[in-house]
Amino acid sequence: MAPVMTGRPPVPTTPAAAIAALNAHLPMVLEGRALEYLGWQRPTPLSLLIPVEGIRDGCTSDPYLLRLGFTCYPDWPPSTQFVNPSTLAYEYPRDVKYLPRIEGTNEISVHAQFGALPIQVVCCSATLEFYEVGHGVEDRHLWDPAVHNFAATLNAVRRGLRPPFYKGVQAT
Amino acid sequence: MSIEAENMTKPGAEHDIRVKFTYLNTNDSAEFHVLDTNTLQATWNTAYNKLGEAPRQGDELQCGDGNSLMGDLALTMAELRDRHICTERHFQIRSETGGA
Repeated sequence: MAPVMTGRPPVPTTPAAAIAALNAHLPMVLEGRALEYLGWQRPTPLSLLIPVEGIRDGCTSDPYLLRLGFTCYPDWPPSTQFVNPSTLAYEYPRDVKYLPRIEGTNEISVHAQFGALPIQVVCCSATLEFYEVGHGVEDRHLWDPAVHNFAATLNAVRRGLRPPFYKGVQAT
Repeated sequence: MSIEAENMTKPGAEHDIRVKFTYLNTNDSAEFHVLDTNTLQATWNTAYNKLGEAPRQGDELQCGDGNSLMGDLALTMAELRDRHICTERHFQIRSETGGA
């Protein structure tokens, strides 16, 4: 078991180990259902494209596309990016309109840019970018591969996409 | 009268109910039976054991629809049923994340 790393930047896992971990965790995260049934795609062995919905009051919803990358998994959480569904990538500022606005919780938010950097950061201890930018974190929130798989990431994102935290699409 | 029927008609008879708990850090789940005289807190404790997980500071028990049950932990499973709380008996355990 890899130790919980504090204050160190993420390092890539060997591809074979990362693929093996993703393959091992997928059935549990999918709760026995098939990728295709849920509309997920696996465009590369180390990435997933997952449609998610931002749910407003009154049950209307906005569609988003989440791309998870597993190059540092499972020792570190997956890279987590909301992407342009046409390009499957994110480019600031053109693609800000593909980001949700999450407010009212200190557990997750979505930054269209991080400081002066034109990079998207889903600011949550269950995403890789959180550690790549060196965000401060309490020990009890640290990603722990003995406790977490990428379900933690997905469920944290989904929580932010529900009332009362989801506030619609980010303004351009 | 069958033994089962006799038990169900006895005043204060305990009933066995089936519950499902999902651990949102992994989406692992456990299904098991509890007596309806068990409290929700005791049932939650059993769920941790069944899942092989330890409680983490800040863990929250929710109904499967995401509604918090932290104010209902002292209720028995029978009281949850009678108050129509989480009627499908699918619960989930959410851990805090750090973030914004």
